[in-house]
Amino acid sequence: MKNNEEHTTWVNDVLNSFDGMNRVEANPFLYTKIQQRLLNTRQQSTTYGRWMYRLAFMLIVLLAVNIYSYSSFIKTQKNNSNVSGIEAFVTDYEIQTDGDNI
Amino acid sequence: MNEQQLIYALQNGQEPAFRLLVERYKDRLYHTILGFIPVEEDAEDVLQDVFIKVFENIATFKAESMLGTWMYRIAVTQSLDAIRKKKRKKRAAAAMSWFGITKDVENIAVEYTHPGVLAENKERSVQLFRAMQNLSGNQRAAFILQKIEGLSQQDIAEVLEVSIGALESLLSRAKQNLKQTLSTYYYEE
Repeated sequence: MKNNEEHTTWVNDVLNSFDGMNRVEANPFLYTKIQQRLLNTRQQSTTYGRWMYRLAFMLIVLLAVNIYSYSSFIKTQKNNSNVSGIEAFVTDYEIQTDGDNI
Repeated sequence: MNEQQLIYALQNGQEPAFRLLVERYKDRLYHTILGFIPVEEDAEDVLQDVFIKVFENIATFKAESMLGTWMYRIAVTQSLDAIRKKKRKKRAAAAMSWFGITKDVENIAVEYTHPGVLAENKERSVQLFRAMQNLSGNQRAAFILQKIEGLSQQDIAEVLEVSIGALESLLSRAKQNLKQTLSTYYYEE
């Protein structure tokens, strides 16, 4: 019985251990610290923004080079297709016709 | 400067208003946050996070609740987030220790209490803080706002965005759970 009473008293004492608490004060320099953190965040986002601009510029240049190369390739293909493949082969290797050989 | 003027000034990006806000609310928010995170350095980090969140979101604040209530709500959310992050880190550290990568985490004892607790209650409050770790987020928040911050039921209900009835039930379940946990501690000793 006594044990049970002790147990109940102990639990209640623990539950009430926050009674009469003193108020705790925050760091007096808190505002300066927050300001510093806000400044750091802004600087980080500016640096990040700058890198994003650089990356975007590089991607645009890369895309432009690719478009230029592809269009040049298409142009060359068109020019070559005017001469048929066999004619070009004969000209390149100076192959004579059957009648000439015999 | 009254609350309306302060909100107006904050929403117009006036720096002195933000300084005033920090000075006006820092102590009570710190006192509350310490109820969730009883390590002073960690609590201060969370307090800074709270004010940064306020700074970032003040433009969208519609004054449907009091500024203080809104800030308490942010403080509760940030504190519970910090606790979750810490738990995740602990779990990761435990997993690492199984592979022998880090030291055994069991050696890290968690024996903290709120610095505002009276000297004669310090020892008992350590047990209470330990037991509070088993409460759900809402139960813990309700208990801390009542027992540590001393807010009225009406204010707590507004902070947690629940009805008075729901809050009473939360508090009653919190106390019941704490009693159960404390009983096991009593018989362990």
